[in-house]
Amino acid sequence: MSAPLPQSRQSHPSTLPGQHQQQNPPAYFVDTKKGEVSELKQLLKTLAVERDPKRKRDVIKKVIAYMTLGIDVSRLFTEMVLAIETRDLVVKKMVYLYLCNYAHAKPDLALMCVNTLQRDCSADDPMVRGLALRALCSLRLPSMLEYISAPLRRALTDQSPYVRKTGVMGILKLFHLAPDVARSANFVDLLYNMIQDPDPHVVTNCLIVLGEMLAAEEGGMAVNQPLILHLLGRLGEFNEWGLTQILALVAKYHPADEEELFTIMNLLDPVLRTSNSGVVLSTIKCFLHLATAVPDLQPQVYLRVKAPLLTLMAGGNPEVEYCILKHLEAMVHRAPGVFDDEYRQLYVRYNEPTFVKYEKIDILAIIANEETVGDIVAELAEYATDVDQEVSRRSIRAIGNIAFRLPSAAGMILERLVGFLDVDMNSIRPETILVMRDILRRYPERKAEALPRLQSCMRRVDNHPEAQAALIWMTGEYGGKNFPEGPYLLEPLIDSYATISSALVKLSLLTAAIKLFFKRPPEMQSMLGRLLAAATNDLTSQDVHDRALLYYRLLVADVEAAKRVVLGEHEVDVNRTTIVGTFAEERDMTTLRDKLFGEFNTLAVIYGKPSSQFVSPSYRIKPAETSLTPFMMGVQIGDSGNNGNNLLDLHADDSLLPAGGVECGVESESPSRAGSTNPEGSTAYTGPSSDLLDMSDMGVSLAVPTDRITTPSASQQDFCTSTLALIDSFRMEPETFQHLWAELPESISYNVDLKVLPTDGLSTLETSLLSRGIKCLASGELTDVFKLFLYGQHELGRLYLIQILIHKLSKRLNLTLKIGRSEMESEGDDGKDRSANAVVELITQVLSSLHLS
Amino acid sequence: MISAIFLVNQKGEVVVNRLYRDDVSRSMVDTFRHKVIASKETGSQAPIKVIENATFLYIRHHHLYLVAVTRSNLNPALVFEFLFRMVRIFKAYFGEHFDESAVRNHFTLVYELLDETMDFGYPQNCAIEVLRQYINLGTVQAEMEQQEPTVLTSQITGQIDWRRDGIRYRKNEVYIDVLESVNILMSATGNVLHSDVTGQIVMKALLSGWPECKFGLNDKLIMDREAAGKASGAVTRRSAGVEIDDCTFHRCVRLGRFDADRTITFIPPDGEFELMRYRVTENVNLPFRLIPAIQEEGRNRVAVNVKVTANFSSKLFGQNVVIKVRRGQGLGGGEDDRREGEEEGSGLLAASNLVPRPSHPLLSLTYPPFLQVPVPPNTAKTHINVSTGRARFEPEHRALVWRIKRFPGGCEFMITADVTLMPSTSHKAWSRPPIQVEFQVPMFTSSGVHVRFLRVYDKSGCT
Repeated sequence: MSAPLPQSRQSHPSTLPGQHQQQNPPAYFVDTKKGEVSELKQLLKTLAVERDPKRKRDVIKKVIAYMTLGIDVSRLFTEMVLAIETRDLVVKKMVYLYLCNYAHAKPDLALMCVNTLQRDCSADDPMVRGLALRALCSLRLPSMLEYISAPLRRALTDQSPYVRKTGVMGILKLFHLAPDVARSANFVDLLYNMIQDPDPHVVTNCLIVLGEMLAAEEGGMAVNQPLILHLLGRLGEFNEWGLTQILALVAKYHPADEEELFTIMNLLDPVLRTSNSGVVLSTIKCFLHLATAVPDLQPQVYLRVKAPLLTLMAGGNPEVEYCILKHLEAMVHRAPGVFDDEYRQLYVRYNEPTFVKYEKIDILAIIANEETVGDIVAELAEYATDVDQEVSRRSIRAIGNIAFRLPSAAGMILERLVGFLDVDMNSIRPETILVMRDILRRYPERKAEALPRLQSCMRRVDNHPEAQAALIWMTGEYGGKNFPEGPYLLEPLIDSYATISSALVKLSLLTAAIKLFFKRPPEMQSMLGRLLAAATNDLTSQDVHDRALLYYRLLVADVEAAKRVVLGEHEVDVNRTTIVGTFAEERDMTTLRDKLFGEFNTLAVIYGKPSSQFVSPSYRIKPAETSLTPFMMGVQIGDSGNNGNNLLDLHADDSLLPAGGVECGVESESPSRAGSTNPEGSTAYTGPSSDLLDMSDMGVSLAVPTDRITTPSASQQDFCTSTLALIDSFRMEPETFQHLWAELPESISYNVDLKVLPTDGLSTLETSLLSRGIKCLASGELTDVFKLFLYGQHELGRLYLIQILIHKLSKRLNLTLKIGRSEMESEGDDGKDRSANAVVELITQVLSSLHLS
Repeated sequence: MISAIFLVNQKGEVVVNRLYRDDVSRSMVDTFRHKVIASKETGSQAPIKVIENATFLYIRHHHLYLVAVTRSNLNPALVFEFLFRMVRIFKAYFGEHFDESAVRNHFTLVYELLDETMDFGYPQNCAIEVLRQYINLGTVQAEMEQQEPTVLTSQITGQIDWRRDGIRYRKNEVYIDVLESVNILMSATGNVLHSDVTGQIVMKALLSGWPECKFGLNDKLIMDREAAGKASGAVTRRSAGVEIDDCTFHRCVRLGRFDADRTITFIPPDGEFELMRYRVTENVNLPFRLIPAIQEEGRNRVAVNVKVTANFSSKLFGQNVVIKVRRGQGLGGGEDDRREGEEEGSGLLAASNLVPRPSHPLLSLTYPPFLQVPVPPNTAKTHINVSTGRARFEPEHRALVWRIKRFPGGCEFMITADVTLMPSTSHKAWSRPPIQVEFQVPMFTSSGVHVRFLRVYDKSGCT
C-alpha cells in the first residue's frame, strides 16, 4: 500500500480553495481611480526588470481584474506584450486573454506579440502550443492573416490532439475573419480528411467547423454513407458535445435502403439513455428524420422516445424541463394519442417555476382524450384557483380548449365553468366568461345551460372590459326566446352609459342591443332609442359614434334591410350546429407547426416561430440541399409509376426549394399536382389541363415582375448579347414551370460529352449556375442519370426553361431549352434562336469552368 | 454556437464575462439587466428570451446568473446542459455553495475554465477530472508533481475523460446511495390517485487504478430471466423484481451492453457521481402517511391537526424525510378535496466487495428528522401539542417545525396546534404551501429498488 500521491489530495476541492482563499484574500475589486492605471503601467515596467514571478502574477491579475470591471486598460498594451515572455502558464493565459480583448483597439501594437506567439506555437509543451495557437487565431485582426496560416497548417498535423483540435477551431476563426482566404486555402478538403483523426475531440471540432463554414453556401457539410457509418461506428468514443454534432449530421442523411435505416436506428438507440437532454433531443430529431422515409415507423418512434423524454423531464432542472416540454408540445401535435396515457406526469407540482407550469397546462389540454378528460379537467380545475393569476387564466383557457376538441365533454366542461362563475377570485370570472363565449360559439345549442347563470355576473366584471363585452355579446347573440331576461340585463348598462369608459364595451353594447331589438322589439325599442341617442352624442370614441350612426340610419332607411344586416343568415338556419369546425386560428397553427417541426431541437420550437423571424439573415443556414439517393427516389418516384421522373414529386420534398415563396403555393395545391407528370420531351403532357391553366396563368403574372415589363425603352435592347443578363431576384413557382414546360415548344436541344461526372452530386454545378443567374428548381440523382430542372429570366422578361440530363454511363449531357416569350417582345424567331445559343454558351462556360467538359 | 457567457449578479452587474465571438458586446448585459432582471421575471417567465435578434439563455445559482448569449438558432437544451455543467465545474473548484465573491476572488481561474471548456462558442472539454489536472489554482502548481506534458494533453482529449491515470488508495472503498423522490396525489379520502418515483443512484468510488465495475439492481427484467434460468422446482420470487420504467446513465456506463443484456458495466470516475437516474410508476410504497386537517376558523385563527403514520415495517425506523403536502382549496373554499405530496427519501445501502461496511449515511442528508407545517405569514401566536418529539413555530420558515428523533415503523404520532393570526386589513389568499417532511429510512426505498451486487474487477493490478 503506497501513500496517496499528491494529486489525489487535489481531488477534494472543498479543502483546497478554502485554504487558498484564507492565505491570500485578494482585493482586486476595490474602487479605482484614473491614476491607478498609470500606477499599474509603472508596476509593469519595473516587472520587466525585476523578474519576480509571484509579483508578476499579482500585477497582471490586477490588470485583468480591471478589464473585467470594464475599465479600459488598453493603454497598458505595450507593457503587457512584454510580459508575454514567461514560463508561468497562468500568466501566459492571462496575457493572452488581455491580448485577445484589446487587439482590436491596438492593431499595430498587436503585431509586436506575433513573434512570441509564433514561437510559442512551436514550443515543446503541447499545452503552450495549443494556447498560443488559440490566442493567435483569436486576435481577429486582418493584418495578422499572413502570420496565422503557417502555424495553423502545422498545427493540423501536430502529434498532440490538443493542438490539432485547437487548430481546427482556428480555421473557423480564420474563416470568420477572411472567408475568401480560408476558402482558397483548401481547408475544407483538409478538414474532410481529418474526420478520420483517431482523437474524438478533433473529429468533433472538424464537424463543427465544416458545418459552419459551409452553412451559408451549401447548408452544412456534405454527408454520405461512409462518413455516417464511420462516425456511428465510433459513437462510444465521443462525449456529449461531440455526439450532438454527429447526430446533427445523421439528421441530414438519407439512408440508402431500409436495412441501413434500421442499422442506424439501432446504433442510435442506446444514446437515448444518456443523461444529457440536448443529446437525447438530438437523437429524437434523428429518429423523426429517419422515420419520414418509412411512414409506418413513425408511431413506433414516438413510442420509443416517450419514456426517455419523461425521465429527463422528471429528473431535470426546470430550465431543461421547459425545453423538453416545448418539444413535447411540438410532438404531441404530430402524434396524437401517443402521450395520452402519461397525462399524470404532466400534472403541475407546487414548487415548480411558473414557466414550467404554463407549458404543462397547455400540453394537458392537448392530450386529453375521451377517457382521460374527466381526470384532466378536474386537475385543471384545481389550478384555476391557483394564487398565480396566469396559471389560473391558462388552466381555464385549457379547459375551454379541451371542450373545442372533444364535443362529448363540452357539457361537462360547461357545467364546471358555470361553477367557476361563483368563485370569488379576481382572475377566474373574467377568463371563464371569455372561454364560455368561445364554447357557445362552437356549440350554440348549449346556450340554455349557460345563459341563466350569466345574469348575476354582469355587475361583477365591471373592471374587466373584455369579459364584460363578451357577456354583452352573448346576451345579444343568444338572448332571444329562451332567455327572457336578456333585455333587462342590458338595461342598467344602457342607463349608466355615461359611466362606461371602455369603447369595446360600448361597441358590443350597441351590437347586442340592436340584435335583441329584432328578437324582442317591444322591450327593446325604447332602450335602443336611448342608447343610440347617447352613443351618437358620444365624442370619446369615433368608432362608437360611427357605428351608432350606421345603425340609426339603417333603421331609418329600411327596418327589414337592417334586420338582414344585423342578424345575418344564421338566424334562418336553425340547425347550424356544424358550421364551425375549427377556428381559423387553429388552421393557421398547423402550417406553422409543420414548419417548426423542420427545426426540431432548436430555438424555433421554444419561441414557436420559424427561425427566420428571430435570427438575423447572416446567421441563417441555407436550407440543406438534399442529394436524393436512389432509395429516397425509389420511395418518392417509384410509386408514381411514370417512367421514373416525376418532377413534381421532387417538389414535394420542399427542402429542394428555396424556403421563401414556395410554401403557400405548394401546400394547398397538392391534389391537382398528384395527377400531373412532367414529360420527358415536349409532347407527353396530356393531364387535366383546364384547372391547371387557370392556376398557372396567375402564376405567370405573379412571377414576371411588372416593373420590368412596363419599361418601354428596354424593349429596344438586343436580346442576344453573349453575356446574357439574367435577373437575380426572379423566382418561379413549380406549377408555373410545369405548365410552361408543357406548353412551350422546344427551342434547342444540345448534347455535350463530359470528361468526368460531377463528383459531389450536383451542388457545385448548381451553385455555379446560380451565380450566373440560372436557378435550379429541382435536381436529383437517379440510378443512371443526373437530372436538373433550371430556369432563368432575361432582364427584358423572356423566360428560359432548361432541363439537363447527365447520363452516367455515357457521360453525355443532354440539354433541352425552352424559351417563353415576353409580352413586349416583337422580334421574330431569329432573336429567339440567338438568345437560345447564348444560354447554351453560358452553360457550356460553366461546365468548362468546373472542368467537367 | 454561443457568442458569450456572462456571470451576472443579482443587481445585473457583470462579475465575469467572456466573449467568444465578435457579434455581441459587453453592453448586452445592460439589455439583460433591463429586460430580464429589472422586470423581475426570473423564475416566472421562460429562461430563454430573444431581445433584438440575440437570444439570452440563463440559469441561476444562488444569487448568480449564468447567461449565455447567442445570435444563431441553436440547440437550447444543450446550452442549458452546458451552463449546468459550468455550475458543477465551479462547484468542484470553489465548493458546493460558491457565490459571487468566490467567483470574484478566483476570476483568473474562472477565465481559465471558461477558455478551456468552450472555444469560439462550442463546448470543448467539460470533464471535471481532466480539467482539474491542468487547471489548478496556480499557486499549487509548483508544488505538484509535474506530469509529462504529452501525457497530460492526450488525457485532455482522450476517450475516457472522466478518470485519470495513477489513482491510488490505501483503502479501496465504494459507497452507493439510492435517493428517491416520490410524487403522490391523494384523494380527500386518502386514496392514492397517482404516484411515481424518480430515483437517483449516487456512487462514491474511492478505487485505485482502472477498476471495471459491474452493477446489479433488482430490475424486473433481469430477475425474471434469472428466475427462469434456475431450476423450475424452486419457488421463484417474481415479486422481488422492480419494474423500472426508464433510466438514464452517467456517461461512463457502456450503453450498448445495457441494451443488449441489461448489465450495467463501467469504469467509474474518481469520487462522487450520479451513476443513474430512473423512474418507477408501479407499486410505490409510501413510507409515511399524513392526514392533515387545517381549518381556517374565522379571519384570525387557524386550527392545525396533522397525523403521521409510518407505513414501513416495525423493524426499521425513520430518521430523515421530506414530505410536502399541499391541500387544494376546494372551490367553495371549505372542504379539502385532494392532496398532493412529494416525499423524498433515501434508502441507504453500501456495497463493496473490497471493504464490507455497515450501512451508514454518507451524503449530506443530515437533517434531524422533522416535519414542517406551513402557517400563514401573519401568524402571531401558536399553541402546540405533540405526542412525541419537539415542535415550535419558526417565523423564518413561516411554519411549525416538528422534530422527531426516532420514528419506529408502524407508529402513529400527532401534532395539534392553534394558530392565532395578526389582524390585517387586506385579506390576501394564503397559497397553502405543502407540508414538508424530511426523513431518512435506512434500507427502505419507496420503489423497492435495491442494489443486488456491485463487483469490481481491477484490471491494472493495483492494490
